[in-house]
Amino acid sequence: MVQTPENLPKFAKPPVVEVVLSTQFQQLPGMHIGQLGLVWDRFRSKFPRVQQQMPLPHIIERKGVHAPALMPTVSLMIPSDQPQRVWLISEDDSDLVQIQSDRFMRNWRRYHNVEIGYPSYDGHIRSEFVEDYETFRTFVSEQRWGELEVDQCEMTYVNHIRPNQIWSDFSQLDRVFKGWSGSYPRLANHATDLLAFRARHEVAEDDGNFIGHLFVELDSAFVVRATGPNSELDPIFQLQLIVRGRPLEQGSVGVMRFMDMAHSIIVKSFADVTTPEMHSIWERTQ
Amino acid sequence: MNAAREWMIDPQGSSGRKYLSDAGLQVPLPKQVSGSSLSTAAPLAWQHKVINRLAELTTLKENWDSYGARRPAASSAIALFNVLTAVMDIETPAPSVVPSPLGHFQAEWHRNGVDLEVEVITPTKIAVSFSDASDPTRDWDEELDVDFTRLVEAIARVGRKS
Repeated sequence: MVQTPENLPKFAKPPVVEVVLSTQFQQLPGMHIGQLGLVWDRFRSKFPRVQQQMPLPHIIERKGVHAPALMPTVSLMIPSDQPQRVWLISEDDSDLVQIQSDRFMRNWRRYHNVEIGYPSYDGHIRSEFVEDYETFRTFVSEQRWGELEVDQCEMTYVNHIRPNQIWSDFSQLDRVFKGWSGSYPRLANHATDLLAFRARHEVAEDDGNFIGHLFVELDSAFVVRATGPNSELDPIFQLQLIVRGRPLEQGSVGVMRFMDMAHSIIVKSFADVTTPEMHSIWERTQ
Repeated sequence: MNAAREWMIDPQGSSGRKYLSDAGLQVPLPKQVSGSSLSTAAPLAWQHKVINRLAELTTLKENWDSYGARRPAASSAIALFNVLTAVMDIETPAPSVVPSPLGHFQAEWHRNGVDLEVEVITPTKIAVSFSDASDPTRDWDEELDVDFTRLVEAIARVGRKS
């Protein structure tokens, strides 16, 4: 049962550093590098900077598929056949649109300034996605490429959980994350200095119809902390929650129904997998 | 340049992270740091065989069958390979891969009395035909979207030792 926004957990200072909303669609056959330039023209006032990136693969969540543990993961790319992906970046670096011939993505981020507050899904991220996605859809329509045939939607929340009075080294993950045991021993006379956790859960409609999957991914990592002329490495936990699956109906309405559902699942799951002690740090209000 | 040489194999596959802008992390994440000296990244025999066949077929020209067939698209080749990767395992025998006149690809197995044909029209429109000579009551034809439960079972039947 997906919770409505009114009864979702709320945090005044969540550790979110990046949010990505993505749609993937059948490849637009006429889209080449020239058109990517024309797309930028539509977004230039909001996103004055542009960068090229390697294209992303086409990913579909499937029901009934279980990858064997020893199966090599191989994907194919044909550079000459696919246009590059472009990043269109806002002046302050916080907002980003990514476009390639089978994807539209909208990022909000604050890696460059952790003092920026999370602007909330309902207050900024949802409306910005709607506006920019509509601009893109209009462009596609004007090019006479037809309607976007969206086959997957995706929402990703990236959290950077920094050391505080609750935890200071990786072996204390149990104070942050419920998927780890505090009884995990010191091995070879040393504490854990590298950690990773992966989990996948099916996402379905109330009637059982398969939609896609929720992924929970936690990694230990480091970020650089500048201290005058020197810099030091701070340990962090990076917790990603990703929901990927089919749109819930045709057109933009189906995309936004998916995004709202994914947001509810991610917020609820974030609260469920993290500890009450950390919720205090993040100032949980509901 | 030979078309086959243009194909790139990404042994890491899709990490799911590549769409993030930049996590700002200065030390590689554990996913990219493996203590294991065992490498499983090399493509399997069936992957090699399928990749080489797809590379060969994507060099076909328009009207390759003299009846107006479309040139097979590289994106169709990738779509077929992704479907096979999702449903096949290490020991699944390699399928025969043939082009369709509409520019798609079809994978076929004919062994152990089983005939299985998988035509990937789009990543979410996959025509499957399965027949089993030992039990015709289990034959089926269906267009799949994202639920591969029946296809995984059919692939397992194909791979079963006779």
